[in-house]
Amino acid sequence: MRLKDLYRTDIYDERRGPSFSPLILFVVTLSYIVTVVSFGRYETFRLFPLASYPIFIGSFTRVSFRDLFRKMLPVLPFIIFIGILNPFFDTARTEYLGIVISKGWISFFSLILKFMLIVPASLIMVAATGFDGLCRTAASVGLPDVLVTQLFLLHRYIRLLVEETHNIVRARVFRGGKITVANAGNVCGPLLLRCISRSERIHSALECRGFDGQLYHSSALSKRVPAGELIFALCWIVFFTVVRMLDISRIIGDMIVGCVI
Amino acid sequence: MVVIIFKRKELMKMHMADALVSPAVGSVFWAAGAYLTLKSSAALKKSDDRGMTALMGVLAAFVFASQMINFSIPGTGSSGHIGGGLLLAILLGPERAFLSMVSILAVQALFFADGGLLALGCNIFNMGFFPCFIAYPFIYKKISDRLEGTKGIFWGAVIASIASLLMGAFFVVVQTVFSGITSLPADIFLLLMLPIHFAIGAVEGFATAMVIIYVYSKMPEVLSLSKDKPGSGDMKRAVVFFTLLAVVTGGLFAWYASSSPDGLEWSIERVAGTAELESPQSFLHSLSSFIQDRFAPLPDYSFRSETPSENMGTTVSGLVGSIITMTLALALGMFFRKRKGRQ
Repeated sequence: MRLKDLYRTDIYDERRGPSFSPLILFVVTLSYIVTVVSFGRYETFRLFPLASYPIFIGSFTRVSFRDLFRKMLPVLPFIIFIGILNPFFDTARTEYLGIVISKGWISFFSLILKFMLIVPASLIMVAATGFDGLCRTAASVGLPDVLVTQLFLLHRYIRLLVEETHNIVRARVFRGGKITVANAGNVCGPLLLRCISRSERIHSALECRGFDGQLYHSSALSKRVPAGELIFALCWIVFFTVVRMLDISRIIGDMIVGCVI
Repeated sequence: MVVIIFKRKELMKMHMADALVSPAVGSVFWAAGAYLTLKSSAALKKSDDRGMTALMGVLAAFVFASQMINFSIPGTGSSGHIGGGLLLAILLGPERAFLSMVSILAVQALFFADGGLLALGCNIFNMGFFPCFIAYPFIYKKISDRLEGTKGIFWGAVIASIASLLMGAFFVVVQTVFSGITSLPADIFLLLMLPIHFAIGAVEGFATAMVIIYVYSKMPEVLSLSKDKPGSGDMKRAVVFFTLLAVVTGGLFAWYASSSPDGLEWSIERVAGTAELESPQSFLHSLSSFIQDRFAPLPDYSFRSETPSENMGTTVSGLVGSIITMTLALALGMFFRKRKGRQ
């Protein structure tokens, strides 16, 4: 985990405001994820039209596809580990594109495809709405104040502590010291104690500013959702339903191939 | 093989991804996670100790940062880091540690693609519930109360860490197999996951113990912060309920896994409720049949063959259709972006 990974897809700019209402984008993203995972493990081709959503929303919000891919790469090995054993245990054969292939490979590709569809969708959601916006929306729909405050604080302090940790590790390596499990206490312990004393200072600072248990203002919550965004959500949810029920790529493909031939 | 997997530690982390869970499994664990979160928040609201708020936030960030430090394990060539859930539970008490873990897992899912939105409930259950509500109060506390000083901390942390990782890994298998994603028989999957997580748990427990012992020697009062936390009766009931549920699910799963690994897949399809999704509504079905009959260049294939095999014609049509849909989406995205830019 590297610090630059945290901000790699961050396009949200507080001065500009979010490109989308967080609630709308959250609802659409969640329905998208549910639609993708509801497909069976052998339905690889029917998943392709669903790539339209991340492609559309990614090009609309200008999230770099390269950054998205870089964020996905470190997580991919775990998915491959789970999926790669499918071909060994599911050896029933079937014909695909004129090639005889085991069904295990089809389910493996469908798993990888699902991962490649879902992960960009949720990363783009955060990039387009901003973490603060998402937290505020979550608070307005009933997420407890304690957790919302916790999320705000965590998001603010990650950067600080990650930088501090980098310095500790660098200092240790420069002095030629190897970090082993036996000296875990000496490496992490001082950092932990510093964190605790820092939290005391933060608490005093919060109290001085009249902290009453929440870090956000409820006035910001009463925003109306523009009609355009409602139409946007509705269109996509209808699209997901249609793709789930009909083999849309085949229908369009048949129409085109039919016209050409 | 186990050695190779252990060396590539990222393969064996416990985060469930969205692609690995079915909607049914995802929503069941979302409900469990949401219930525990609400109960924990209610318990904290009652205690009304705002002094701990900043500590929770900063310690969660500490766990995040400290997991970047990988300690090498002499003689093995592998590495490990400190276990987050248990460390937080020791420093903050179970409810606060649980909420901190929820926040860490949410940030990991949203920023690092580690986990996912739908799988968040599963991850909260595997990596939040077990270390905070089971391993800490029933293992770590009991051992550290019985054995005085650093010995108690050491053995408590190591055993609690191993136990929480084993429980978490067991539930990763349960969730993956119930989601019907893998063809791997459940018993082999368990045999792969449990020994590796036993080893990871021992390393994480050791590293966590070292950190706690360091804190204990320098600032012992920090460890007493979590000791005087009020335990709410509601929370205890919730924990007992979920523990029983986990035991029953695990027991049923183990019985299934040992008796009929193939039968399990059959049961997953029933649990996942894909049956009703498989059959499209009659109007849409007839509409699409009409379109297909009208335009299909290869007329003798049915709308949806029951077998998953797809012949050449179908695949070509599918590919052409997919490419057109995706190109259209890209064009629309760019068009709307330009329009918005002009406004």
